[in-house]
Amino acid sequence: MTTVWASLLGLALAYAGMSCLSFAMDRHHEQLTRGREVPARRRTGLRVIGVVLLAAAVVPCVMAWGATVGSVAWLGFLSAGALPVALLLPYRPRAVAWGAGAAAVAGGAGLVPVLAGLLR
Amino acid sequence: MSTPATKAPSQGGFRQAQAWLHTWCGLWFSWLLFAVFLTGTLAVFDEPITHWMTPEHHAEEAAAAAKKEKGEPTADRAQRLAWGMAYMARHHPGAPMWELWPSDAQGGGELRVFWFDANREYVGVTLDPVTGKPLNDGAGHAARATQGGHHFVDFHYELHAGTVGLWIIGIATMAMLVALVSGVITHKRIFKDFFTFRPKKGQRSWLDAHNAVAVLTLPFQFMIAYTGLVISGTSFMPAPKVLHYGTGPAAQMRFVSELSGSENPVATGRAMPVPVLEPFAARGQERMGQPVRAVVIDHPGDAGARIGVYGWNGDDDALRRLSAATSGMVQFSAATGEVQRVRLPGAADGGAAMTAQSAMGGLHMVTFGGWPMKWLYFLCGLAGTAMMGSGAVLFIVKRRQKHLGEFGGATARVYRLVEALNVAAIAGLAIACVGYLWANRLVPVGIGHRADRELQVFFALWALALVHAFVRQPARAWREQLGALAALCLLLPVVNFLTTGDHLLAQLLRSDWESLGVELGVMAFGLAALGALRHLLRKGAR
Amino acid sequence: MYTRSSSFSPALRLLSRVAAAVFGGYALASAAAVFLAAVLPSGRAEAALGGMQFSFAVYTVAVIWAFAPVSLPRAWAGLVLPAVVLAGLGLALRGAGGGA
Repeated sequence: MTTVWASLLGLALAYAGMSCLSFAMDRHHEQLTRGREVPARRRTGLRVIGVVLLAAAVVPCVMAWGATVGSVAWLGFLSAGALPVALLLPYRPRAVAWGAGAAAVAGGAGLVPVLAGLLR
Repeated sequence: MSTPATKAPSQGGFRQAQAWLHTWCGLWFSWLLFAVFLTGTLAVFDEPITHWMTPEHHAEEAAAAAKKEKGEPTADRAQRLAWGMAYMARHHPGAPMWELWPSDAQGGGELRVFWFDANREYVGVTLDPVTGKPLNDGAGHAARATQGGHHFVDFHYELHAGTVGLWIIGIATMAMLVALVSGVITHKRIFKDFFTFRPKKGQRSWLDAHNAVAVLTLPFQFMIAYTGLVISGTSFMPAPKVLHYGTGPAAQMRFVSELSGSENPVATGRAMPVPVLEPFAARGQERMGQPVRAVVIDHPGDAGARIGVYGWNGDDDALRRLSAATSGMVQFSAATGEVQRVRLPGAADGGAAMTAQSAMGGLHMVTFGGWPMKWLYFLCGLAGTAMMGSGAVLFIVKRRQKHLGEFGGATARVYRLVEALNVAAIAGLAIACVGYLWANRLVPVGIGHRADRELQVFFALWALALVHAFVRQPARAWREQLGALAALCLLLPVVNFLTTGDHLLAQLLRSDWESLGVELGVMAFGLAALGALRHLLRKGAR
Repeated sequence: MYTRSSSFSPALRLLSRVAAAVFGGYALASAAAVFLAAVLPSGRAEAALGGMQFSFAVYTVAVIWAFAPVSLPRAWAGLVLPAVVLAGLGLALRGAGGGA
């Protein structure tokens, strides 16, 4: 896997995962929906999806850079994915949510051939 | 006088004491650390900046690339090594070390030779790979003398001031580590406020921004500070080395050679001509499994000479290893041809501590992972820069609302000092950095000590910004310096076009991504400065 | 807690605390490095390097300690005593563990 492709995938998955984690918090959920509290099941769901997406971001990193450099890259992408979430949320919460959806789909789709190749 | 500045650490709980430590340790070092972070962040791209700053080399590089593509025949390695050795034997027979770089990993490219001159300076020359004659660098044209992007590298770790500068930066870095830890302790709701940023709320917004950039990139900030200290750690923390080895150059040499696990060869005093090098190169290549990068001869002309053969790391090694610097290496006795030592590619010299040392060096200087990692470091470096800047601004924004009187009767004057230093350290340093690029285009090419002149412009602009910040009211100083910064950044492509005739479109057409990246990057900084200026003007109008 | 040292002005006490952090912390970090250099189970050059690498973490914690809300004598003692012990042990064990 080329490093540029891995960076795009890692960044997309990290951003989507961080968005999910943010919307599982009352304050940011309110920014999006005006609902004061996150329903308990939705909170759990968002957290699980968020953690899964963040964990999935490690796959392209390790594939492109190997385990050592890949984990450094992964940590970096976690930061890089979280920054736009925090800075855009107060201005465009809906755009953050839509962007996260798109990034999750694109990142997931990008991982499919990679994982298929791993299983083969 | 029982003022908050002096009594705070002794009162209240642990967290309050740490808040006090964070505020004051952070404030006094924030200006210097802002400079270290901004220049260190630019240093990630020192090579593209150097490329932009040496336009005379652009044509040469393009010609070399075209030559390589055409595959013009050049001499083979045996011939190249023979030429290199003949050059050294004729011109520098007495040098204690010869170092020949026969070719690139594909067997083409230039042939270069290096040695230590009489002053123990490391110098070199490039030989023509077709004729073996020295290439006269700069005979056809005058290349401008410049430190290029290396200025930012040097400034960010020793301020162009050698050992003194290194220690100043070391102390500031230590202060940064302390500020990071005390900041984390102070921050009560680190996870609750993880993504919190509330704009347009004055002091609250500055605190949010400061917390967000710091917390979200915290692993990077810890890593960069700690590895920065460890790289020069034997200077800062010499006790264990001194205890075991003593002081002085001889002790240092023993320490270094024990670390790398190789004894320095000893000259015997008996003369022996340097043997033909190609057989050593071929055997070395076979043993380490890498193409030959360099052949190093210690004590050439002596019977005790040692021949070291070093390998080229492949692109994949540079991507996948934290410490990309260690390649394969095989050492021979020149007299007997016996193999003395083999280091396989990726195996660091020495044990765990040495491996950690080289990994930390790689981590700090991002020698791994290629361009995506450089961009990631650039982004995280900018976040660190923002952390320093927002912290310094937050200090004074808080006190504009409410005078805390920490310094008794002198408080107002101290606040004024902090205001001025904020402007000069943040906007002023940025002006100095882009002014350095302007100087590169405007200082005449033929002038003596030209590289120093460029540096003088950098420091002069910074000093000027400092004076300006003290003369003008803080609000005005901010506006004027941000305006100047925006203008300097956005007009850089214009001054480049007027002085060299090069422009963005031409760079795009010839795929000169490095020049293009530098100019677009500088323009992005200019737009950011413009945005900040607009924000200030609006706030002033309200 | 602070009444005993109240004969000094607050500015002097602050200065003393800063000195404890800067110099006491450095002494403790150096002592920890020397101790590690003596006991780390590798060659002595390696051990000296490893001690240095670890020492900056010790220094950081030491500075944090110096600014903890404890009395000045305690802050100093908490830095100087372990520094003396570690340096003493390091000197005594030098060469024993260092494999030199």
